[in-house]
Amino acid sequence: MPSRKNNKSQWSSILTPESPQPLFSVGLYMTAVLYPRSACVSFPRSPTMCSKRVKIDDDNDGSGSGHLCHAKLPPETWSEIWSLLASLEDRIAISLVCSHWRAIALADHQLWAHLSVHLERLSTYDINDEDERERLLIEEKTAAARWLRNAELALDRTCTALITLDIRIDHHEVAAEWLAQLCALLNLHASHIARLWLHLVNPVFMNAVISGLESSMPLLRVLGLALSYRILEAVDVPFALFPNLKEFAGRPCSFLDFKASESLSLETVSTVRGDVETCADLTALLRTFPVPNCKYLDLRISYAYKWEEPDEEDTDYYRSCFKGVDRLDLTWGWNSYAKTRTAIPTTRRPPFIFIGLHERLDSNASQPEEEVCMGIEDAFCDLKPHSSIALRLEPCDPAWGNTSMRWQRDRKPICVTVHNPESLQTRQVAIHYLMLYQRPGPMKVLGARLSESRSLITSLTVPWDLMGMLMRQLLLPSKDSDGLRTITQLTLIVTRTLDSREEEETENLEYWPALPALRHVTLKTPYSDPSRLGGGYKLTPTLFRSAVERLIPPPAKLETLSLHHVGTGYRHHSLNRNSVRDLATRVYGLHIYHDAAEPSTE
Amino acid sequence: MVNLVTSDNETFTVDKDVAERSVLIKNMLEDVGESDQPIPLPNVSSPVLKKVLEYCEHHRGEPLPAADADSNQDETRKRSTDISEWDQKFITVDQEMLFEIILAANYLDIKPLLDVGCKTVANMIKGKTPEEIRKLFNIVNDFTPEEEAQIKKENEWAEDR
Repeated sequence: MPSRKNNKSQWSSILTPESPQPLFSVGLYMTAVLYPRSACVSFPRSPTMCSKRVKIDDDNDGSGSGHLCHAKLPPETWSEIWSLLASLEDRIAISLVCSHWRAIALADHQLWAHLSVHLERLSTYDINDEDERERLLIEEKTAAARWLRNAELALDRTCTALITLDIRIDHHEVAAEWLAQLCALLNLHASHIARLWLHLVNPVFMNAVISGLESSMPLLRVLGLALSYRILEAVDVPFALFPNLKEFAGRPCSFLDFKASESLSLETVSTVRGDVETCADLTALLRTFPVPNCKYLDLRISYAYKWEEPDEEDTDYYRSCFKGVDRLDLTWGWNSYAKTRTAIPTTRRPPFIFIGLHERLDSNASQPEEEVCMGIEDAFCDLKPHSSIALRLEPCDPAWGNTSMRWQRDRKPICVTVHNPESLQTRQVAIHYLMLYQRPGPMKVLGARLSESRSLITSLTVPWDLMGMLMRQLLLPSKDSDGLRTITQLTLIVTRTLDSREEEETENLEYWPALPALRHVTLKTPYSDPSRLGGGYKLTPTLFRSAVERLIPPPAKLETLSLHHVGTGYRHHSLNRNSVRDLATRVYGLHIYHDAAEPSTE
Repeated sequence: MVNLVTSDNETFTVDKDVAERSVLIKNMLEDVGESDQPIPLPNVSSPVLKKVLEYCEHHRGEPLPAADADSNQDETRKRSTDISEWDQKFITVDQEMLFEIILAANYLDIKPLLDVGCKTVANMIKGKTPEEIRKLFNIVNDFTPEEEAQIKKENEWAEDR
């Protein structure tokens, strides 16, 4: 055994990743050279080499062959791993490593069929130095050229795999030749492109691309054309090339001059995402994609001037269209909601309605709070009385969020969802965070709506900070609200570190009622929150304990208490009687599965 | 309780719900029915199984991914190579163990563990040049001069990253 151990240590000292070529002896030299061949078994070379390899492996007894390990991975696992590489350059790099990897990579056509790129603008307006601008422009050009070259290489490897392309270029200078090359690439692979999303700066670039499309794309299901500035004219879009289009997104795209004809009908389209700025635009869009062919409408509506607003006849027409869809997502610019809200049907409503009132709040918004209140009223006006619902208030990234602005983690819009699991009815309103955190109206209207409908909440998700405000509204009509007696599941979303010494925390807790049916309590940070990687947020133990005991005064039947990326307590407090562990085991008699959720108390 | 026997003849006794994180074992138990017979796992060694069971123990009780959920979640999953904090600590092992865990997860059919392993390897590869990848995994460039020339011609852009 000692000799074997010795052998192992020799191996590891010689073949560590940090020292690729320290070759000390002939035998080891052979291992170093031959080992990768064993990894690269797809092209066996001479029999003598193979036999030598086997011998060396035998000598080593398999005990120290750590580096041979990845050779055992089956090709499909490698494909799986490589499919996780988002960057095209990474995928190309793996095809250049060794002949075995190259063979696997080239045989996996899917690996090359999903291209997604965002070429950001480097030469922004704030750069005044001419030389610097020049240099950045060259850098932009090089990046664009390199991506196109790589894309050509990748698409050549797709064989007949369905291609999805997601291309966003923010450069303000794009060479005509580059756009022509992109066209040529799209034309070359047109027969098996299934999804094409193009986001360019202006209609000049966009038209250069779409006017260059010549080959039919019979398998194209999704077409998205987005511009940062100005409007794309639908007449310029060669719809005839996409005979089986299912989803069209034009942001913004005007159908005013567009004429559907027998040869050019858009009947196949069942999902439309549009961005309209005048009532004429909206009418044109709805006429082009008539219900009931169209099942899902996702529209952003914003009127800046009086003449752009709809009259009663327009609104009636919109309402009749909206009645026929399965899902209706409407997002409004400020001041536009009050003018079009009557277009939302009050009877024969779609099973899924989303109302977006979450846009960036600027000084032009004249009555944002009123609009949000109206939105809540309209969304939740048809809750079935006395039925069980799931209520969720969650920070979210709505589809039509302003892409140029990154929502800060606790400044995200709050999406209020009421879902009825029996009728499968879903009603959603996305609200600007200030409207819930700092204005009293919206929460009041929400509470009133839920109380009026006598909805029985079975599952509740709410940000920790809004729990007090929501409970206060739900408890207002009667001190013993029926709607709360049915809550069995509660999820509290924590978006910051919470300290019991802060006055606002005590105020928040004041309204937390005892929930008699509660069995499952979860505390979590939002999925996309960057703090997750660092272990999430902390609550002080006292705060955590008083919160849980308020909701479920012991000895209640709590079944699960879960913490996801939320910790309590401080380091070095080993005997903390307010810790999760103590609360769970001593007070509620729960079994602890693992304690990792609470690293700081250990 | 379920008894699992590794390739090196070590027996592990674990709760049924822990062992059933593995679809392979779950199916075996369903086929065999109630039985005290130990389940042989000839493709897994004891150190690796110990590690795998540590993962299963930690994630016991969590909903198993449905077989048909795959296609829907695929796109979202593809885009993200984030690994949760506990999983990240769990998977911080040497390369040999990492690949053994992936192989075991593949064999035992434990999809979430396979995902964690794959994401970890993908994160190791991310942003590296072919030469750096070779160094990382100790792979020797075995392209013939002709292949090399062909590749170079094809990838003149890929080199200067």
